[in-house]
Amino acid sequence: MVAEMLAGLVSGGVYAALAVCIVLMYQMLGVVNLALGAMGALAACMSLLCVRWFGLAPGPATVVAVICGALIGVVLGLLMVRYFLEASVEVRTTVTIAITVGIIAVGDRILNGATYNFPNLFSGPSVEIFGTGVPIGSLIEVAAAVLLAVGVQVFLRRTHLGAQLRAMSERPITAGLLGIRVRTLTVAVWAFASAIATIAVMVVLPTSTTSFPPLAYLVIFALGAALLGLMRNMIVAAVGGVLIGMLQSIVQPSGIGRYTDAVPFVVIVLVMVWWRRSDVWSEAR
Amino acid sequence: MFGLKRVRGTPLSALLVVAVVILVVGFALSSYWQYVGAVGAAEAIFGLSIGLVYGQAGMLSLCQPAIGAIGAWSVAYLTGEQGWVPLPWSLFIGAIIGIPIGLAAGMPALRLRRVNLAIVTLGVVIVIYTVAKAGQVAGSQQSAYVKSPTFGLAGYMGLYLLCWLSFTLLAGLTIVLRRSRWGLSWLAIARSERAAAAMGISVTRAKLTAFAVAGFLAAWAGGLLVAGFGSADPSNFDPVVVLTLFALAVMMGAGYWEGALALGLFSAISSALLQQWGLTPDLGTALFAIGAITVLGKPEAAFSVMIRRQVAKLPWRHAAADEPPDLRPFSPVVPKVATSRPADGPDRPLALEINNLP
Amino acid sequence: MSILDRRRISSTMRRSLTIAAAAAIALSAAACASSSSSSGGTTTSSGSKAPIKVAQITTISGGYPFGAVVPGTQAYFKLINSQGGIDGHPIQFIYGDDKGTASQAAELARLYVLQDHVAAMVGNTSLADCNTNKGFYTGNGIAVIGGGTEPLCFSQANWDPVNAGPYYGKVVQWEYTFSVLKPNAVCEIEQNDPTSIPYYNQLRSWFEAQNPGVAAKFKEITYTNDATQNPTPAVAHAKALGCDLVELSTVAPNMVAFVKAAKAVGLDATFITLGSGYDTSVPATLGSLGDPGALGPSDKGVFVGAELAAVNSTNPQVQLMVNTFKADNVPANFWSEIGWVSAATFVAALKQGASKYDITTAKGVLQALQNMTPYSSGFAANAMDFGPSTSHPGNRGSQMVLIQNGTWVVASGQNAGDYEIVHGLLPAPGA
Repeated sequence: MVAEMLAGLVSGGVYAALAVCIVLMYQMLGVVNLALGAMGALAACMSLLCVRWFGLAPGPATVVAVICGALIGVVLGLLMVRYFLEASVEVRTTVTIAITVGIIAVGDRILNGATYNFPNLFSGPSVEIFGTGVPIGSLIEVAAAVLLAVGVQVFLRRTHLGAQLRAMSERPITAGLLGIRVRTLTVAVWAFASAIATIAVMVVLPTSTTSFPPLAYLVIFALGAALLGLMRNMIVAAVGGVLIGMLQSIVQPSGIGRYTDAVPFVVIVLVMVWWRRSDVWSEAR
Repeated sequence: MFGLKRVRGTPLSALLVVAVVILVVGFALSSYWQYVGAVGAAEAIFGLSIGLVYGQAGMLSLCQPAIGAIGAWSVAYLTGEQGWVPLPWSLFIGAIIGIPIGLAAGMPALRLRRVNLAIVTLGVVIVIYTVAKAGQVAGSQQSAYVKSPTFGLAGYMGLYLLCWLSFTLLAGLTIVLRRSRWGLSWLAIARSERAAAAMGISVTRAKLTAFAVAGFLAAWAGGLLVAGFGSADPSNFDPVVVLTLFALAVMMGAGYWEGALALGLFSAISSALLQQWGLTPDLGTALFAIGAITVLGKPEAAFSVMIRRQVAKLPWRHAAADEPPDLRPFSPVVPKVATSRPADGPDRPLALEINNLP
Repeated sequence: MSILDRRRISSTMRRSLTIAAAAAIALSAAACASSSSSSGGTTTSSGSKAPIKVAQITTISGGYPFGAVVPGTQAYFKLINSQGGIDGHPIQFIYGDDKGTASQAAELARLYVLQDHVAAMVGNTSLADCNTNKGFYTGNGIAVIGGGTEPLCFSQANWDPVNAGPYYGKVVQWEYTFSVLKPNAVCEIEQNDPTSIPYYNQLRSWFEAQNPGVAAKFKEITYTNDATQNPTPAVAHAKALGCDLVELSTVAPNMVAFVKAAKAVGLDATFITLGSGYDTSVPATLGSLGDPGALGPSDKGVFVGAELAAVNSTNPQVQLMVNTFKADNVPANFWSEIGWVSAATFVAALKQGASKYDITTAKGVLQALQNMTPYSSGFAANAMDFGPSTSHPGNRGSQMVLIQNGTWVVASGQNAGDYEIVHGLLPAPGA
């Protein structure tokens, strides 16, 4: 049991990082970005194309991928800013669903099951914990995800730019009137989140998959974690992501292993129903 | 039971004319195109299901097509594995079984709305897909084979007939329901639950009836897929497929029956043409995604809305005052709030609202 | 009725006619525009006689790397066409990607058979084809030769797999494991494929009954692997159980991931997989991890039961394939071999039957296949044939290979020279 839990740290770190980004985007931009996993996965595919076509070494390929991730974020952020700045959270989230579908269509063309040599960011020595070898890389990754959560929270609370972001999230029109560059900040948040998602997906890429959609679905697990933080608290979301990763890892080799993918759903339903238990009426008057 | 006041024959007659034309055309099609058309009809029924919950009742539920799995398993089990019940009766039984499942999937909608409901229903899609892949539910393995019905006709005309007659029946049902007390309650809760409640409409009942009927429709469509493909394949309920159908429903404006029809035809024909031209089906998916995003930005661009507007402009129309009162964009009307993030504290009164800043 | 209702009637009548017209035009236009088609790639050459049209439905995208089957088949047909075709008939080849989904597989089959009137399906390697199109092929008298991936591929009248498949391949794997490798504790990690589970269990019971003492060696058997999931939890679990041999039935990228995860977690075990794990790029990807002993003292190596001959076989037919692939830039792996051997078996049968049957029609092709004499492909332990029976278990052996010094080498101790075979036939599913 402990061995499986430790094995779950790899994916747990990924869910944690993605969960932090989801909470960030929800709080700052008012959108539940269901396309986050797909965006990161598409950019991560760029890394393997670089290795294949240009023969880049893993390090530079990773850097290229992160830059691609940021660019994808910029493009989508511009799309949102141009057409959906005043749309409801619902419409924006539906747009991210459509984006996910579109990106999966493209990603499927790139990643179609061949044996690729993915740049492996976190291979290397393992450390023995409770009798199981845990790659040091996955420990670093989990620590990085938690640090990310802390860092972003501190940034938002303590810096001038963070204050601007918070102002924008509360009242975008007023913030705009006050001279805060709402559009630029929106695109910047999209780019940041996308870059983080790219790094997160590249961590699982070497060991996990031959097809594209499961990479896009990583966001569902991260969503469960984000909900644990009630879409507000990034640190709880990060820890939640690690826990969900470990839970998934325990379930996967067990008797109910073929229902592993349903695990985050249980978390999601329990949290949502409890969180929204007093919402008898909708907002509309 | 429905609270039917007057069955307005007119939209129904429109549907009947279209149905007759489609059926007549079917006799002239080759066997292959009859098959394609039949699959298109099943997808159109999925469109009716999505359109009912999202287009009419305003609830952002992504899981409607996934409930089709229930119908699929029922038909595969009853007709294929056990051979107890032939088509089309097993379709009907499967659709009935789809009602409680639809209700169960709709329970979260009593407390969750908008984005939160979308998240939970996305989880439902994943759960149904996981269960389908696990193959432990009766009828979900592919061991049994369901033969396409022929009704004594050549080629795939029997299947074509079954699918399009199903669509006609179910689209007619949605038209009738739309004008009934149920349908009007759905439109009411889509605009404002408080106002609906103040008028004496039970919001809970409205939501649950919407999900029940949508579950019936989706399960029927799922059963039709088994009639076409021979067994309940989990790939039909892959999250990507379900989300693509949703994107198509947005693009076509499936809240109206002609939008659902357009969805079915467009999906089936584009898939067939892409195969013929040797292009990847992913191209169609990417196209639907772009279409959905366009419609979300400009709700007037939804296909069914465009059709209605164009018809309204025809020269032999009478005065524009004829415009049917329920013509409205596909996405439900939600009041614009000045915040970009939903307030999760007590409602704050708006002091100032500014729109369309550059 | 009020005035508004009457106006509404006429407007809705107009609306309905518009929609009806649009729907009718759409369906008819699409039908007419594509009354004949060519899709995918085509391989033709000028010949004086009528062409033989064949098609292929393969899962090219969708998680499993079967895509190389297509160029494998194409390469062989191109070769034959350059030699004048079959008895002067050139071969026209079209293919489609079903993405592993039932809807695409069903539509493609009907497109090729009903619209394009192909004579046979050659090289089909799909996750959905056997299940979805079983009744269709039988009902329309279409023969299929290809790579079998599901139990139904091995038990249909019209479907002839050229690979041993997961069932013969599995028994071969067990034979080799318990007679040569002799592990202490075996962890069997199977695919989450519900259609296979009952038959696997049946075969295992049959094998255990024939080989006393084997049953106790199976430490755990799970059916939860999914080639798209991270294998680390499964590997950690195997280590916790103390397994020294891990048996898989998965594709090459997933097997690579398993071995790498084993290294990370510290699992000391031998790995053995079915032919689906055979890919010439695997040794290079694994590097030194693939060598015996890389994971620990119990690690006897990374073994694969190649259902068709490894590419460094000296058999001239294999070398013909290797050289043709090199010239045409086709990757050499299990899948392209399936494509090649399927095409070769097809051509051999048709050459035999060219004088007796009309091999440009489906009926003639089916007759030629049903009456063929077994064909020695050079790639398998036994000769390929189609035959008239209601199921075609095909290939009954595999060549066990392992990685050594960055390349695949034939393993020692096989019970039929370079191959390990199952003597006799396996029990049929459900027997």
